[in-house]
Amino acid sequence: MSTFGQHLYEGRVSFDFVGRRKLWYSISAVIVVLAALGFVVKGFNYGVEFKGGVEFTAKVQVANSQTSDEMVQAVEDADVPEAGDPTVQTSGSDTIRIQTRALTQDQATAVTQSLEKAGASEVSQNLIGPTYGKQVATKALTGLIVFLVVVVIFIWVYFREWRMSAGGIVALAHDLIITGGVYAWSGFEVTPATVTGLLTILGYSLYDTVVVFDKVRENTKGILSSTTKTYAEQGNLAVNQTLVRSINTSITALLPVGALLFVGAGVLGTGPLKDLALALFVGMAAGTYSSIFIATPFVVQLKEREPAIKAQTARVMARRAKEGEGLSVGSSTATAVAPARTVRTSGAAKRAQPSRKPRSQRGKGGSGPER
Amino acid sequence: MASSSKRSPNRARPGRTLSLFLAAIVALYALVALIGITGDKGDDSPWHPKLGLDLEGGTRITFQAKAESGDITAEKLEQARDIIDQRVNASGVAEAEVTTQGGNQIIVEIPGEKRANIVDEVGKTAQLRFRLVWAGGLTSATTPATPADVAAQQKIIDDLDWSKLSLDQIIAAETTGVASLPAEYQPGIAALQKEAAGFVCTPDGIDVNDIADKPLVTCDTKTGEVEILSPTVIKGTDVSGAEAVVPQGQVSWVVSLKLKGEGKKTFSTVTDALYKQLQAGNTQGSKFAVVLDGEILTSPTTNGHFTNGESQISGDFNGTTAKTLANQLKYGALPLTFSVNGSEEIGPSLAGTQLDAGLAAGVIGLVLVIVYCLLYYRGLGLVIIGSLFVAAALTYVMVLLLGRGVGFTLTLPGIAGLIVAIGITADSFIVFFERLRDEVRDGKSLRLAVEAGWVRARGTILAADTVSIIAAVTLFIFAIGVVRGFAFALGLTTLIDVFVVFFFTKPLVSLLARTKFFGQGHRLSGLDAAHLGISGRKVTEIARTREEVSTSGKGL
Repeated sequence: MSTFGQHLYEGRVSFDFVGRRKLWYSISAVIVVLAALGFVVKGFNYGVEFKGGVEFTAKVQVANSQTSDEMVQAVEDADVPEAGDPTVQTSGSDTIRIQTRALTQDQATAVTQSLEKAGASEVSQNLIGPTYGKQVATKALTGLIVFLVVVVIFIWVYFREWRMSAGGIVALAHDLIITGGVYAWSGFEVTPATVTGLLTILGYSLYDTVVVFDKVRENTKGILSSTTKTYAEQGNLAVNQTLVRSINTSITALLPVGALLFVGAGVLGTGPLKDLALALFVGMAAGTYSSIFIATPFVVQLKEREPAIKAQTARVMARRAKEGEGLSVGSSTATAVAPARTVRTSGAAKRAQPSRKPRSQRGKGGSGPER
Repeated sequence: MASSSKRSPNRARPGRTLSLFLAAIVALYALVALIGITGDKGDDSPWHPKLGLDLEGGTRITFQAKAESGDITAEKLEQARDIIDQRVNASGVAEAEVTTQGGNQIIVEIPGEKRANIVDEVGKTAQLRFRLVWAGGLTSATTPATPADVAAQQKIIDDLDWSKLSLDQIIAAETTGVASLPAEYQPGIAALQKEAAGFVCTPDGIDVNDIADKPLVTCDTKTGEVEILSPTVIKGTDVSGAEAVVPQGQVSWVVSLKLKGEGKKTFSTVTDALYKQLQAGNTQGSKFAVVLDGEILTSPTTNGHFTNGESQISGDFNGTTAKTLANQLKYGALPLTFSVNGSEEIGPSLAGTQLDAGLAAGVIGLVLVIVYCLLYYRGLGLVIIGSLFVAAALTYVMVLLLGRGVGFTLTLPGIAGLIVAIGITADSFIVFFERLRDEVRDGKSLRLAVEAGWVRARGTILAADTVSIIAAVTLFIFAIGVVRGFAFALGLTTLIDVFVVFFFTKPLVSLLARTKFFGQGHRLSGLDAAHLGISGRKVTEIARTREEVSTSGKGL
């Protein structure tokens, strides 16, 4: 693993994230379209906080967490899917309240009977309005828009590059749509906890992207005066160099969330834990994927349209064509057809070595004693 | 930058930074212990974080809309719900839930027990009105008038159609005296004066029937003065904003007030007339009163002509009273009136298994992260684990303190947020360690690599954490409810991450780089040559030439 990291760092092992962007874009496009289809076809399964519901009040012998659990079981036993995942609360010493989503009269009666069978008495029902769900969502949306504007400006100022802002936002939209799609298709409930989960993804997705962009910026510093490397190659190297970090970070971030999801959905099967954990798990995985496969290739693509970068790429290519008469077939086609493609296979090892010279010198002379 | 530019002080620093940081954490815990000793309320232990409704239960209050408050429509009920929600959640991050129920009830659920004061706060601030002071500064009676007398007087007042009075007539009644009103109203005035004479003002609240378009006899419970007030001139729903501020160049608090719509115009007319009275020396004829549920909140003197609906109420305010008044003004206008239909204690809405499962998940997640870090980073993994535990200790003490200070309440999403933060916090260390390894690969000795890697990682960590902070701050400002609490938790953990990595992880690594085990790259330290991806030289050496490195590269 560590030598693998070393190889990635030196560019000896290199995954072509930037050059094969059409492939990644296509994969993402398919997933995004599938996800978006979920919104249209299935829609979201809104929780009681958004749509209102029914509240049952029942008397029990002793109201405690154990009887609460029994009542949850009783509601599940009523075999009314709409009443699944109820919220149960004790009230005083002998009363229990159970909230479910909106039910028809027949369904409500079925739930009542099931509760009575489980030992509850004097079961009454009451319609409740949507709580704060809508308000949470609208306000969260306001917050989201302001956040996006501020963060776009921040990334722009920090990297002095609007293309990085654009790349970050595209990756973010990608992650959010995919997460939303998973919700629609899986039928998991959308509650304020879900909204919270989505907001976490926002932060995480951009956080992760910024880390990768930071390396891209470092690698492409002074690219215009370089005659050996193109912007695309340096961008790709940056993704490769941060790959070990990306993998390690995703693992450490996804392990706890995965545990949360496993316990929430796998063991318990009900409750707000799984709603939150699913959003986080999917969103964080998508966030890591999009930083590597979407955000950086997208930035490189935008950047390559810039005349100065275009000219520099052409210069590098021209020089390579001149030098590379005797080079292997693979890399000569790569230079001619797809300038963005990094050189792979055995030829890359030779090529990577000279390129390390300026960097290692910069590393010694630049960042050490001087700073 | 400074830390690495001056090398010699830097050598002495890490130990000191580390001990100062750890001392600061101990001091925070000592502060919690101190709160525990001096805690006056005798409620729950300071070592117990404030838990939300879903985890601990709380108080449930039912408000019933009064039939006489007009049509109870779903729309009005929803408006009232919004306002009550804002009011309950205005004071911090307590995460109360407000629901409508059965078409005429509003349910408020607040975490924690014995929150009877909430009933007052929420139920009391219902109807806000601006009235003029027809007669003020009257003294409170000592014995109350007989109910029969009050009823008779009220009947005379109620029988008159006060809504026919024009705004000018209402103003004139204050500025030139109630005698200026048309003769048909004079019996009503007489009844009002009688009622005022028999009115008892008690500091713990009064019970009057406040009807918008009729005059009112009531009192300011703070000053104990009884006043006869005109029919309502501006409704509370015309208030568009209120804020407690200290104006520039001043030292005392004022409440700035903004009106909209009809209220803006009326306010201009009223303040024009009343300000002229003040200039003429008639202080009594220049007052208006802000009445909340029949009780006078404040009766300020008009000291200017406000044409744009914006004004300031000054008086004997401190920060708290000014904020309370501002909140009452801002959220005071409920479209319906409510009575309290009972309050009761409720249990947690989350089944016990959920909390246990959540905590179990947290422990499992943490153990997995620890195992992974140890496997991958070996000795350095211990640094990550140490850092995570320091971060956890710091988070816990901050949650305790903020629970006391600003009512920060932990809910299940909050706890999940903290669990997620494990991963995000670990990322800072990973960024640092990967940079450190990059520097060693680039040919630096380990000690130099620690400093150089840190300089580079620092920028990345700060940039990435800034994104998180921006998210937390905007969401905290613009969002509500659970999201607000979550944003608070996110911001808190991000800041803690920055503190831990700057003041704990970095100095610790600097120190460890000097030890034999780490600094010379022991096989299990995570900093050995093979693990760093170099061979053919020791990690303590600087690779002088490119050739050396490239040969070593071939060797791998």
